[in-house]
Amino acid sequence: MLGVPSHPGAVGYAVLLLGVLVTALAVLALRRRWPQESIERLAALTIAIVVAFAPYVAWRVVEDLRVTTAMGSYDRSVAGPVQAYLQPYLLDPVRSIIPPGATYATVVGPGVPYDTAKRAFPSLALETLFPRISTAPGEAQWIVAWGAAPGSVAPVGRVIVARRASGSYPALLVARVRR
Amino acid sequence: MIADLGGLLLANACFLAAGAGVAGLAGWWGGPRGLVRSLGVCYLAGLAAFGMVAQLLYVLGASLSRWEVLAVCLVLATGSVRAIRSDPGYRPPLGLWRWVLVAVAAMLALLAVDLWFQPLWAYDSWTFWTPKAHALYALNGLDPGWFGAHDLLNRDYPVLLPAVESATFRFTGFETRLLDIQSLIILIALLAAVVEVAVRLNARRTVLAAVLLSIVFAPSVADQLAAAEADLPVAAFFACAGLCAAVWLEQRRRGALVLAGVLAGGAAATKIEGTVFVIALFLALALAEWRRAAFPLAAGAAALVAGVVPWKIWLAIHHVPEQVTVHRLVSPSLLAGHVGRVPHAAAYMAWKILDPRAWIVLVPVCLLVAILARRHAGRTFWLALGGTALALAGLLIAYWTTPLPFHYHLATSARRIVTGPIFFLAALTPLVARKPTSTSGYPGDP
Repeated sequence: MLGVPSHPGAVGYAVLLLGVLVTALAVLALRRRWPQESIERLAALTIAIVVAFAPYVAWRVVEDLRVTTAMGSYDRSVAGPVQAYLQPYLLDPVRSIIPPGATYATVVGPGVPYDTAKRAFPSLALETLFPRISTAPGEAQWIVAWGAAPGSVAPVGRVIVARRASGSYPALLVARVRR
Repeated sequence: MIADLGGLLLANACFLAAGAGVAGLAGWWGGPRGLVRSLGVCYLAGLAAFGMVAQLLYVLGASLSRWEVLAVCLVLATGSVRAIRSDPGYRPPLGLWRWVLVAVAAMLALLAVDLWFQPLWAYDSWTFWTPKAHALYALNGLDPGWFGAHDLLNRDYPVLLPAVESATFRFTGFETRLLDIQSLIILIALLAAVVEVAVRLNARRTVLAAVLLSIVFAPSVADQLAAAEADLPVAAFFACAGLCAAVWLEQRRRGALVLAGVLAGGAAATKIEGTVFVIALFLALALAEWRRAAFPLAAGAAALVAGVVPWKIWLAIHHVPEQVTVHRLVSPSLLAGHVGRVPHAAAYMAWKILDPRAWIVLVPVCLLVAILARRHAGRTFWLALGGTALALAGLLIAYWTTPLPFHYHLATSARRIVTGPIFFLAALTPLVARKPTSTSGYPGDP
């Protein structure tokens, strides 16, 4: 879930402890009804453990809701790329450069600071440039390069700066392949 | 978005109708009441059958418009005409404590609220699962250029889930926020199937309650529902196929084996791991019933043919490279060169299975139940343990021979792909724990 804290923290542990204590009291109160057969006893113990965990599990969901209900519609629509440390609008200008029927290839260079962003960049291109088709650089009509020179993978013409460098992110360059 | 939810529910009603037809044809249910208590199995069978047919039609060049989706479901639903007139037979009491049902319903309701606000954020879902569904919807079919695109991740994964999501887009428009709700519907169907088969085979209700609560409250289940990926659907198909296989083992109903085949085909058409699960299921079934091994082996082969072969043909025609190759599995040099991965992957998977932060105590309890029930071990016992062990062994081989960076592959996928074997084992555990004198819950059953 998007908004669950990576560690339970004091509140999470307190909720867990509360669940354990309440369940322990309930088990004590119901001890005369505790089953005799081993499998039944094991199942009853499992139920008790799950019930003890239940407040903590519910707390996780509520914590998630606190984050997701605060998101606006734009934030929701770009949550995937943002989770991959990508600027979701990164490739928007490329749509007006590469015509819809054309093919393109992506290149990511060492200038991109995050590995996740490097891996996810081609997927963001696939989504943003839909229905343009990505191919291997040797077959592409256009090169979309991020943190790399378009000419490093194919002979290209004039290089267009689709988006300037911003913060730790390098510029996004687009160039038509010369055949 | 409320209108879109209506569209999603309408699409799912179509899948349910299709599944009622498939299950009715297999003799799984009879009469309106019989249909009501079999809704879980029917829904999953419908989803699997529709998904496989849709995959085949896409391979043949269809676009699957809204009317074509309705037509496919209508054709599949015709099997329910005969079943609806059949005798539903005796209906055994559910016998579950009311508070268990209330707790399960309350948690599912909380999850539904959470998923309603959940954006599409998980890596696999936004990078390839949903884009594939969008492409099927927007390009009106399997466009070889786009589906063979260089930058599309996991191009060789079969397209049952994208086909199902694309079909729902025909009713909702391109609305990605409802995909998590779709996953929740699949989970609810699996829970209903677990209850139905447990009642049908007169399983211990205490163990059933423990399993239901353990699944619904497992943090990993909540996490995976919110991710809208294919691991939960493939796990649901695998587990439900296991339940139908158990009914075949215990009651000799051929229709149950047919349904197991349909559901297994759905698993194979959802994800590459699904093929591993299908092989594990039917191999374990054949071993558990070795005198009649030809039937489960034939059902397993049919499931793989229906679920995988059309897609493999499409991949071959369009020269799309595949991750799973025979070379990976039989190359002595590759296997020997990476043998050091085996203990690491085994230990990592074991931790992901036993991690209480993910599954609370679900798997240790299932194993302890199996140990306690070993004296009365029946065929279902061997199916449950054998199927789980073989499925895990198959996943281990996948990590052993993976062409991806090993540690990255393990770290990003192990917590999800173990869901299949876990659901399978959990679903069968109430049946494993049956009392030795237990007979069918339905007097009309064999």
